[in-house]
Amino acid sequence: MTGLSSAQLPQSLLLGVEAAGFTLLVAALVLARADWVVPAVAVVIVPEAVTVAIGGPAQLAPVLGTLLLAAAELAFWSIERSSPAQEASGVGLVRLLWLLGVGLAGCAVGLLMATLSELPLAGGFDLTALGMAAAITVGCALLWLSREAVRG
Amino acid sequence: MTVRPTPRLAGYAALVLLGAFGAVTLDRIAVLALVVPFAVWLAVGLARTTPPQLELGCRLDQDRVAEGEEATLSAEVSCRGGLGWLELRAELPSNVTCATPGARHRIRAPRGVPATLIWPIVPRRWGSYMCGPIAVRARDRLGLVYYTVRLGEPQMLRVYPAFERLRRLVPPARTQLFAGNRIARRHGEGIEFADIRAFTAGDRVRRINWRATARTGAPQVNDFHLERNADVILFIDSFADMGADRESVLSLAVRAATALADGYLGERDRVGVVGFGGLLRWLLPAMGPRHFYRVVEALLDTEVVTSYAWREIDVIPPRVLPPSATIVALTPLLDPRSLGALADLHHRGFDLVVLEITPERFLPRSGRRLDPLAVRVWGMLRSARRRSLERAGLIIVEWPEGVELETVLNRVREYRRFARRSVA
Repeated sequence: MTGLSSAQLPQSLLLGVEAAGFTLLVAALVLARADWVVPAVAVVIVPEAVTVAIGGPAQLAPVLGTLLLAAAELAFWSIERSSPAQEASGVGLVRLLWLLGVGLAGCAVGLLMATLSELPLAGGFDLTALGMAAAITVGCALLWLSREAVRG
Repeated sequence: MTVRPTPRLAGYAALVLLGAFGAVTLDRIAVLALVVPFAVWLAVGLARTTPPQLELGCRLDQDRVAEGEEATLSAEVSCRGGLGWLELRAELPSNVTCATPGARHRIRAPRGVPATLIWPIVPRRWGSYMCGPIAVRARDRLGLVYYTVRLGEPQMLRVYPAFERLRRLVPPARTQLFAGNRIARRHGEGIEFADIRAFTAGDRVRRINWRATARTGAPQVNDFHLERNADVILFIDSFADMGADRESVLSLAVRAATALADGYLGERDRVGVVGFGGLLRWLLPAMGPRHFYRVVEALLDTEVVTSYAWREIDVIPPRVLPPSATIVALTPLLDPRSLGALADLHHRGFDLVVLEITPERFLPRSGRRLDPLAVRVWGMLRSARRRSLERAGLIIVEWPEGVELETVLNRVREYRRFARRSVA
């Protein structure tokens, strides 16, 4: 997989997969299917990930990720608003501010990660173990937070 | 309280795992950076989410309205906990419409000061309805988890039938003993002049007719008709119904009964109600403005209950059908049990008026070829039933579509006048 180059992967295939993802997203909006939004985003993310993996600029990745997050959130928002309801003033603005805030924070963290990944650090067992421990810790933290939130 | 993850939670977690897998597989950390914004969204959202404590109280501004009048269901909600938005939906019966789209409010979770929400509701049909409770769906700020619960006590709303004011009613054939507005056949103290007769001990001097006395040479007094009230029983056939909720045979019957009760009680008559159907209901005759509300409350409970038991008039307590009462029956003449009851009432000597609410107007429109034939046969059967009752001596007046109740009552008065002239 790492031996792949941009010459071997046709751009049309990547564009086709992305177009399929956006089509699925549009279908989700039209049919008000919230459960189709994330799969649509996943379909769009795959060619982007491949592009980044085969030599695309790493700093572009978190920006793309933030834009996809915004697209997903706006899609969810649109589907939620399709059900008739009287919405109080300010609800939309607050949601937008949260989206901007968390989106920018995520983009900043992603840029930091992408920049660190470009540093010529020598590997080694210690660094690898530290990285794995950090990944596992983050995963466990997310699982614990999910359990606390859902437990009610 | 039910707690459920939204599609975001599982979806974003799956995306983060997909990104991690891709980063490991493609050996580029930059691939993980694609999904870091989703991971941050999950972390921030879950960290700030705590189960909420919601309190809600709902009330109606008025518990009695007429059809088509607006009432207001209001709810005061307060919450504690890490919530973003609340979606509150009032659970309303199908005959009650709400001006709020979807009967749903979407608000920011109130902090400290309770939020008051209003649902303007309009009932389309008479009856008793339970409005509420309120279904609450609370979401955290980033939409990862939602909590659903139903809060608030259902509120009873009683909807009175909308009725037309009748200017003239069908006068009862006989009066009773209590004072009222009707001119009785018997003579006594009154306003309407009846006769001149010889003076007897006990007559008032002011009633002496001096001209007649001068002509006859013996004291003559004026005699007047007594003013008495009458007993009117509203007989509602609830064996069968046709039509949709707002416009159906039973709806029209209840509205007509309300209009008649209003008219007769205004004339100081005593009015009683009998709901003759699968479930027998009755209200003893009484008079006065307060009794009008008792009559309406009794009519609100009228509904068709399917029953195959044969019923006769004997099941009705005698006090409900006073002798010499005028019975106004509202019926579609669909069920043979109601026809038998009406014939029985007539043979027992009650003054009976039958208003037939023609059910043809409620037939569903269909394009099938045989349906017009079936409708004609059905119409002929009903016509034959009506003729058999008319031959027995009942006065049956049809109430077709587009005709007001006042017009139908005018026809009843004409028929009764014609019948009296024929007998004379």
